[in-house]
Amino acid sequence: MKKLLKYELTFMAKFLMIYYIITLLLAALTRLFFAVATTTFLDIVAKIFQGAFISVAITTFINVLMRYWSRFRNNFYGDEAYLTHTLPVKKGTLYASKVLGGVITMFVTLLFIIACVFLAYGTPENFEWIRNTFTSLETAFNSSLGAFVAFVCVAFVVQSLTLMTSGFLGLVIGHRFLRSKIGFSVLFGAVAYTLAQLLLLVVVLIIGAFNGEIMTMLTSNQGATIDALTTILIAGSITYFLACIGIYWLGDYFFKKGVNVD
Amino acid sequence: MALLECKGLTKSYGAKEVLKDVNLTIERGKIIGLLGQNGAGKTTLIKLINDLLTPTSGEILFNGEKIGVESKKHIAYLSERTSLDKDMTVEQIIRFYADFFEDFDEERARKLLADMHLDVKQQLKKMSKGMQEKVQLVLVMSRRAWLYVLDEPIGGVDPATRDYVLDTIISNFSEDASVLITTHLVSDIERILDEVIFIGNGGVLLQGNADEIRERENTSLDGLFRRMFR
Repeated sequence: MKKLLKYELTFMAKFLMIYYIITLLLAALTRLFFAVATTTFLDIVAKIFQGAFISVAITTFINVLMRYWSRFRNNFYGDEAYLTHTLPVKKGTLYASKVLGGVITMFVTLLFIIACVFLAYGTPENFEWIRNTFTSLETAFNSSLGAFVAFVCVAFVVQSLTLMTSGFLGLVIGHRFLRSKIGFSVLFGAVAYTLAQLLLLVVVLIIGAFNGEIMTMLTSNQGATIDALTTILIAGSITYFLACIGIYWLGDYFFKKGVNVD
Repeated sequence: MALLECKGLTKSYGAKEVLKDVNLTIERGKIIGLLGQNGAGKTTLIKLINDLLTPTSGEILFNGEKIGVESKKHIAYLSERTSLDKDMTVEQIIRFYADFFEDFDEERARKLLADMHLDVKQQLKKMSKGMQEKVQLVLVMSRRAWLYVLDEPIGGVDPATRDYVLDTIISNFSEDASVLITTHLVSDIERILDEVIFIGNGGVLLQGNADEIRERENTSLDGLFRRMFR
């Protein structure tokens, strides 16, 4: 596993390095131009860099997902499969190394993007603005925002992992077909991800049956409360986490049943 | 115990049966030619041996055990396609092989690469297809495997290089190891074969000692191939 991960992460690092450099550069330029934006022209330039930075940061994250799906396919069903499947390594270990590599790459990329956001916007004035906004929102909603923000992040991460493992499962099942393998891969990946979303909806409805605030939020036009949203985010994080494990187990099960490389 | 044994091996793609109830045995210390027309099932059989395909029914035993981690430690496979990561340099690929295959002889690989004037610092994607094939052949033949499975090892190289490739194969495997080779170029490999397996119509048509078959049929293996598949 260690050896597989080493090659996995080295490959991804080489691929993502250029995206990391561009993101870092744009974050630094955004910070620099906002700091010296004393004229309209410099303000426009700063905003252009800000737009570019946000676009590249999002692209980098999406690229991790896309590249992992593509690498999964190349390594297990493309030309490289002729080497991958002849390595003296258990099928389950091969599968786990891809998922673990994806999880690590995704975490590192997220941390990197967060660090770049701090680089771009981490000025004392911005921190002060965030603190004031938080305080006024907490006063307005009469509730703490800390847990809400933390679970937004957790839910985003586990949801992204669910998306990635759904893609892997789709590729494994899709490549069991004789024809239209890519088509079936996309179909089964989408089905797995949609089922995870439906599961979340069912869980929220069940919680709503016991939680008046959530049910009111779901069935009326009344505005959401921070506590109700935090409860949904916690439920969502747990549901996505369990869905992620279930989808991983299914993918691993079908992968271990054997492959058919073209 | 046979080195490799296929028992009632069947492989279907939908309704099409490519291999049907194939039974064959490969002993140690032989160079065996797996011969047949296009679409006869040679590559399918080889892919089944290397766990790249899942049998519809039947089983393959290597040294008495089903194909798995243990068999992969001792089977060296040269595929028709370039299976290496083309972004890697030859040096990195050598490290990769040394990391994963305990029987990989790094020194032998470096010597063979030098003999073939291949630069270890060069990226695979910057090499011609022929050079990439040579690198793959060197890596496979640098393993001290029990069974070498070579799918069309001379198909992509020029006639002048073919003899060199065949000599590399002959001189780089130990006496108790076996080599299973597929090719259409029967006349080119005829001289090195101890045994032949002719496959067609989804099954084994003929298997036996190359010399005995030549004597019995009173023709070369190439001649017999042409006669069988006319």
